[in-house]
Amino acid sequence: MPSLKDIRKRISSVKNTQKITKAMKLVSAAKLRRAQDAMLQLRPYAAKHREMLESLAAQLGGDEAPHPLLQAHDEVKRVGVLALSSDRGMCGAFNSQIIKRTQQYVKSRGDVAVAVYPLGRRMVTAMEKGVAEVPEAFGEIIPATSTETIRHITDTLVDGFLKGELDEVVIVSNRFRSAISQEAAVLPLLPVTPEGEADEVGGEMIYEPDQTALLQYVVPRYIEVQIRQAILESIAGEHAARMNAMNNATDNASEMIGSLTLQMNRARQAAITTELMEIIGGAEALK
Amino acid sequence: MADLKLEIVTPTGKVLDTEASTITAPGANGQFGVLPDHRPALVMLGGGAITFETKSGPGKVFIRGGVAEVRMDGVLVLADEAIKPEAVDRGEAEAVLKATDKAFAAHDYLDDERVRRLESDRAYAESILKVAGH
Repeated sequence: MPSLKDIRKRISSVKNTQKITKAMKLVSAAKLRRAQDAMLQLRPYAAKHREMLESLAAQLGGDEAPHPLLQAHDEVKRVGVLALSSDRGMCGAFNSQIIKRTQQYVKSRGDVAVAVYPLGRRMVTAMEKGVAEVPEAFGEIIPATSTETIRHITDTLVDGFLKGELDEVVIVSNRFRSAISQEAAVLPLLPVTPEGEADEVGGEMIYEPDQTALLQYVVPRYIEVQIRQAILESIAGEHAARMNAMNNATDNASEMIGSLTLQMNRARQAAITTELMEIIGGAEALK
Repeated sequence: MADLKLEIVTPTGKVLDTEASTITAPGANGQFGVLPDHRPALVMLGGGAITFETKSGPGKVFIRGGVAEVRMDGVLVLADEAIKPEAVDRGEAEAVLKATDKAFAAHDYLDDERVRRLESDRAYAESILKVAGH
């Protein structure tokens, strides 16, 4: 049985841990709010791009795809995967879930070669273990929200696709569903498959310089937007996951403190009882 | 005549939402102006300043390339980046200018899309530097 002093020490250490987890939870909650806000800000921009892309593609559509990025390759020999994780741990199953999903995806492609482009420190480390070929690691995810980095990622993947080095590109990332649930999902990125029909207004619109040039502009931008969206969702998801994990940790710590306090009280009571018995025993002996 | 609604949206949020009587924007093929009841159009934008006339005076926003959707009653600008004159950072504009020059020098071959992008970056930086003074 641990001594009274040992239990006291443990209680104070658990209390300290609880302070840390509580602080982390609050920090994550604040960061989650900001990340969610960034996600919402992007939405109108993303929606408009999708709309433009669909309308332009539908108008230019024929048998042949109006843009090389819309053209599916005849044979799929090599697939690019943009795999997103967080940079730090302490966020529950967030990273292990997405790493597992990536490995699963690599396996599911069978004989098709898979090139993984990891983004986020956890994914970069996980992919170093030789799950698949890694042509380029994009590093940490938090600084990746800058336009420069997103463009670099877009350019790398788009170039690979245009040169025929990649025949398909997908994003594997945690999609943000709500503050309590993230879902590891595979999202096809290239070739772009626009759905939808030409707008009614299409006919009387002026296009400057022309529809083809506009499509040339919109398609890469659309891909950029998709990548940005995935990054923002992953970051929001990370904070949500960390908030939950830290919330649970704080609860567990409370529970542990409760049971340790009980144990401590018992130990103290036992010590008092023993002392009393000794005193009584001593007094009896003197009679 | 009804005013035009001018909205400038970027990936990081809405930069401007205002009513304006006239709007000029840097199209990829040169400046163009919009007055109320303009024919609907989809116009590719280069870098530079969007200027507009509101009831309280003229205004200006710098954009770094994008697309403008012109409707009868307004203009929706989807800009890669947009910045108001009061938020302009001279140092950043200089950095952008330097980066574009470097990119031009570093590649002997660039596809049209990238040339266009770099040129619009340069026009964006230059338009800011012109206003920010020396």
